[in-house]
Amino acid sequence: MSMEWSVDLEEEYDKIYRYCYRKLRSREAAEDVTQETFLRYFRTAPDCRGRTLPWLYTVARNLCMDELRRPGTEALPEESGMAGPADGMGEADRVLERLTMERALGALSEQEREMIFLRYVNETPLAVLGSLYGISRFAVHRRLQKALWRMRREMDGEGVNFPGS
Amino acid sequence: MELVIKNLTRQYPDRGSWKAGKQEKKKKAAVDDISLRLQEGVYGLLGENGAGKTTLMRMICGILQPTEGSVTFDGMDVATEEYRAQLGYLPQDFGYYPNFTGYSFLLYMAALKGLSRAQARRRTKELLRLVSLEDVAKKKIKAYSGGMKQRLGIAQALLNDPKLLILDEPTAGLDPKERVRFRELIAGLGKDAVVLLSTHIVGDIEHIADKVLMMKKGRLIYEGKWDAQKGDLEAFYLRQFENAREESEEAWKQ
Amino acid sequence: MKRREKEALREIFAAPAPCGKRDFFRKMNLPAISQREFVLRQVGYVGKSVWEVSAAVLILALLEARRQSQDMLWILSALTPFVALTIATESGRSEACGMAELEMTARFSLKSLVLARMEIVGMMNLLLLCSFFIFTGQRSAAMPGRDGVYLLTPYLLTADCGLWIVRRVRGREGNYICFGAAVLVSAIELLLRQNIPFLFGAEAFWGWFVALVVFMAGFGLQMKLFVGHYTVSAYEI
Repeated sequence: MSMEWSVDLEEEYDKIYRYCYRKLRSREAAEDVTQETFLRYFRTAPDCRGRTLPWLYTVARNLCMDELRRPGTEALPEESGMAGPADGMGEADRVLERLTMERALGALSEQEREMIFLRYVNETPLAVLGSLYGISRFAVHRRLQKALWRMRREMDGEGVNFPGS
Repeated sequence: MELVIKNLTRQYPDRGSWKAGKQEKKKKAAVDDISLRLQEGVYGLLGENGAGKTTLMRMICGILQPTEGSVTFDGMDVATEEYRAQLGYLPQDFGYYPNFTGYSFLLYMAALKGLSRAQARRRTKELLRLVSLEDVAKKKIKAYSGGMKQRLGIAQALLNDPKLLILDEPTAGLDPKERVRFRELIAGLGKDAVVLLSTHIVGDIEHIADKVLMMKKGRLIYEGKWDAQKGDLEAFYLRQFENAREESEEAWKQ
Repeated sequence: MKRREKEALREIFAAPAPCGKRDFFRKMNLPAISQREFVLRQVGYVGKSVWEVSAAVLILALLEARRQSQDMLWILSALTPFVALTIATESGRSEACGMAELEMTARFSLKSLVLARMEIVGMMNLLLLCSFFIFTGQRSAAMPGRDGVYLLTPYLLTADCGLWIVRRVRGREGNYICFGAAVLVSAIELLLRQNIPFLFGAEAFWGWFVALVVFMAGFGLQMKLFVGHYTVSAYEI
């Protein structure tokens, strides 16, 4: 098997890891699942030719589900109130914006949150998202726009919106 | 992680030996029956010019075929692609295609090392930062100073995150400040790779090598840890050569 | 998506850094890019001179084609040695530029690199020669491909000599000597045509054909030797 020209496996590792962390809420578990995903990729994936990302995400998703279904794993809260460490330099504004956004995100469905995460934090291409969810790219785009619109409306409701662009 | 060198020998090409005839019992060898086992860490290969350091290194890199003996790394033979996948090499001197910039040079080497385009771009940026060449990355190599070119050379050797790093006289021609920076860089690399660096500058060895290998006339005359207790490395070095000379005189008499 | 929104999202969805990544990838033996991808990427690195010479030859050939002279076939035939020049110089490029030592130790070693270059330049040469073939048109319906023989023979002869030369004389000098060889072959052909026109008539065709086969075999041999040159050891002490 060979490497696709556009794929950087080390970058994808980070992204898959973040994806798993969202679901499993544990660094070790997330890393274990990530490594297992890549192990399987090296072992069994044929010439992926443009389908590496969907393959990785699909397998990671399934492994996460297996992990969560295991007896002894408690259901973890969907949103951990604890987000990443606040940037020490952040002005009070930014902290406020972030907290408001977190709350706004809480008002969305899990799938909407996940889509926003995948698209804007992991920078996953629309085609890959479509493949992962079994819908067309356009459907992904529509749902994303809708989710963003709802999020922004929630934030507006609290009087917070992001200046300019 | 282990580099295993067994009875490695490289004879000088037999030119004009028909003249010497059968009197020439002891053929001269550039590298004479060297066996080594190297694990993680930095190994300093000391020896004067002509001792066979570069020949040895070229054989370890698969550039030169040994007359006898073998080289394997974690069981992989030197002539295989998997061996080369783990290898990073900085030769004593290297050229570059005209009009290459530091950036394009690294991208080119990355392609040769089998990195995907996305990977190549990321590694190139990371390594340019590591060796502090970001500012001149887009300038032509033609315009680089000797020290910059050396740094580029090391960056190229690290593209594939090698487990086996062979550096031929990496600090030659560097000014003292650059030499210190290089030493720090190399010492760091020795933590999870087998690093073999050759030099005739004893000071390099003192500061970064965990173990010292000394060569003279193609033979390995000393292999061991360098200990501050052993005193001045330079004096030690000279003493070893004396011992080796006495030994070889003994052998010759027999 | 506004920049600050994105930044906020990144903070919200941040995860503690993974710690096993490097060790994991070092343990795995990552696959390399495919052979095909490797060759494709080399296309961009083909020497400038190859493009320049090819363009120059193509322009000359086009000019000649427009003229539609009687001698067109022979002029084009005398141009082909310069096409062959490119494959010889490109094959020796690594050593000429001092990159060979480094390239030998890479995963895709110098051998595959040289082969890739030969493939690419060979393709370019083939396209050029095909265009020559098209320019000359098919004059003799009885003997299809006859013109091809006349075009290929000087090409292969020069390629043989060029590869042989580049293996022995490295660097710029080797390239100059190759150029000399191309000029020589071209000049000899033109001179012979002036003085011994018999050789260029229909009766002498079979001589050309035999020469072609010989040169083709020579080409195969030179290629093999050339590539083998890089697998044994190019670095005698």
